[in-house]
Amino acid sequence: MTTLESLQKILIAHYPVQIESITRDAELQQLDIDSLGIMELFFAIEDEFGVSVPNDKRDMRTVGDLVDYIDELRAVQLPQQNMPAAIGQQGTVNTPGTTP
Amino acid sequence: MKKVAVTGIGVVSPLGRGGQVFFDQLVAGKSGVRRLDLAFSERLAVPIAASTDFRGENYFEAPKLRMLDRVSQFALVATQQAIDDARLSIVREDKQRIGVAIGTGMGGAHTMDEGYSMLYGAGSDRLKPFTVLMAMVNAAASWIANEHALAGPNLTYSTACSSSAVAIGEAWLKIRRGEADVMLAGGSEAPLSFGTLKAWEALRTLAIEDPHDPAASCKPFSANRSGLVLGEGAAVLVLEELERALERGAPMYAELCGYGLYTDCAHLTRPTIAGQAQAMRLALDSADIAPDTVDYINAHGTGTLANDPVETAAIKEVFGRHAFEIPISSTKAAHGHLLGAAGALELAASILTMRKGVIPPTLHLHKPDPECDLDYVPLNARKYPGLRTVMSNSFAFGGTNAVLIARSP
Repeated sequence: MTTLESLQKILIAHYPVQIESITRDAELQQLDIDSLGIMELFFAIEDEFGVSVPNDKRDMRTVGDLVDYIDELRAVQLPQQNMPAAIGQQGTVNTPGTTP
Repeated sequence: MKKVAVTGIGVVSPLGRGGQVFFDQLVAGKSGVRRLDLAFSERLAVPIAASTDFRGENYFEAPKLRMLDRVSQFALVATQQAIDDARLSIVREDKQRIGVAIGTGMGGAHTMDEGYSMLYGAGSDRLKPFTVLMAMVNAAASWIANEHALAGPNLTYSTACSSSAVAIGEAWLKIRRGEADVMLAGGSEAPLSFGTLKAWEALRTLAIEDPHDPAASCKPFSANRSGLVLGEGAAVLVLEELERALERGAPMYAELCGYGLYTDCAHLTRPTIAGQAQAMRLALDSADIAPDTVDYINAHGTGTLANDPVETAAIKEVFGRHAFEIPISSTKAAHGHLLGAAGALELAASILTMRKGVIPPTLHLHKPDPECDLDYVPLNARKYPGLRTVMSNSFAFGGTNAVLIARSP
């Protein structure tokens, strides 16, 4: 499941929105998710993606902003899950694409 | 000074929702006190309370419900009822002239309880994002203003068991002084969470369970009373400047005409005869009426060992011989002690008593305490047409004694 698909799953579970309207370009305000809604969403994102959302006051305007932010957090916080090709279980740094 | 009418009543209570249903149940002698069937009931010394079968999902969409503690849910539903009941149309009103005054003793206690459970119980390092917004004591009043676009004064009063009597009294003053035209005034309380129940249990002021009938556990003025029973719910009244209410042909429940406030300043929990009596006197003074014009008193009547004889003595001190002629009831035996919502719910009961000409009984009063020797309308309702002036007493831990008086408009 892609990050966008996982996020869609969270959004339709918590908000009265149609999955088709949750595109990368969709504005969160237009999905009826205001700044407080985003705060709340971070909680669900932490549960779903196993990341910890820092208190860095990042501006989130579109669904795409959220998707990119989640990917960024996963890359930093969960490197072995997110980039199996880059960092192997052995702890050695490999060249992308060389892990079996 | 302007006069103040009560033009709408909203109720969420252990005896049902809406003023009419609530009052019918009271008069029928029904009790909302029951055994709690909750996950933590086994860990309670006395798993008894006056709960309501209210379910938030029946009233609110999920995204909003996630932001509302139970106390705010009650308050919003009671407010909507009161507005509908008063046929108050806010769209065309001057929103700056309409305010909110809500009393609550413990605010969003459920939210804090759940939060602590996650932190200390489940060992989580995260709390839900809206914890602050749900638990803050003014959340209920703020939600009411937001839902109905009311830009007038938005006030929350927290004086324990007299919170909503104070809220109504202060709202009354605002309209009297011309600072507002309409105030949505009342109280809400949702104390039936594990932590809050345990805290009350620790104070050893809760009633023990009646061995024959759990619903009869709260016995105000009775020789075998053993304490109070907690209840949950909300009551909100529409208070409106009298001329304005007449002009728009609003329903006229009563004129709210007196408010007395007097602080014991002696002990956190021990009531005083002098303090309760003085609050009643000040209410009579502010209404500019003589004691013998009072036709009914809805007593604070908690059913605790301390309150009932003290309140009885205070009533005698204020009313003299007339004290023995006034019908008095404690409706807490039926709906429990709603703490910060008690004053509003009991003023609603008092006003409906006057309107309907029927006095709700003090339930479970088979054998009065010898020190409690007034007419408490035991066991059965009493028809009493022609009631013109009613008093509602609210006395609090902390010592803030508040008394309200209403009369036929």
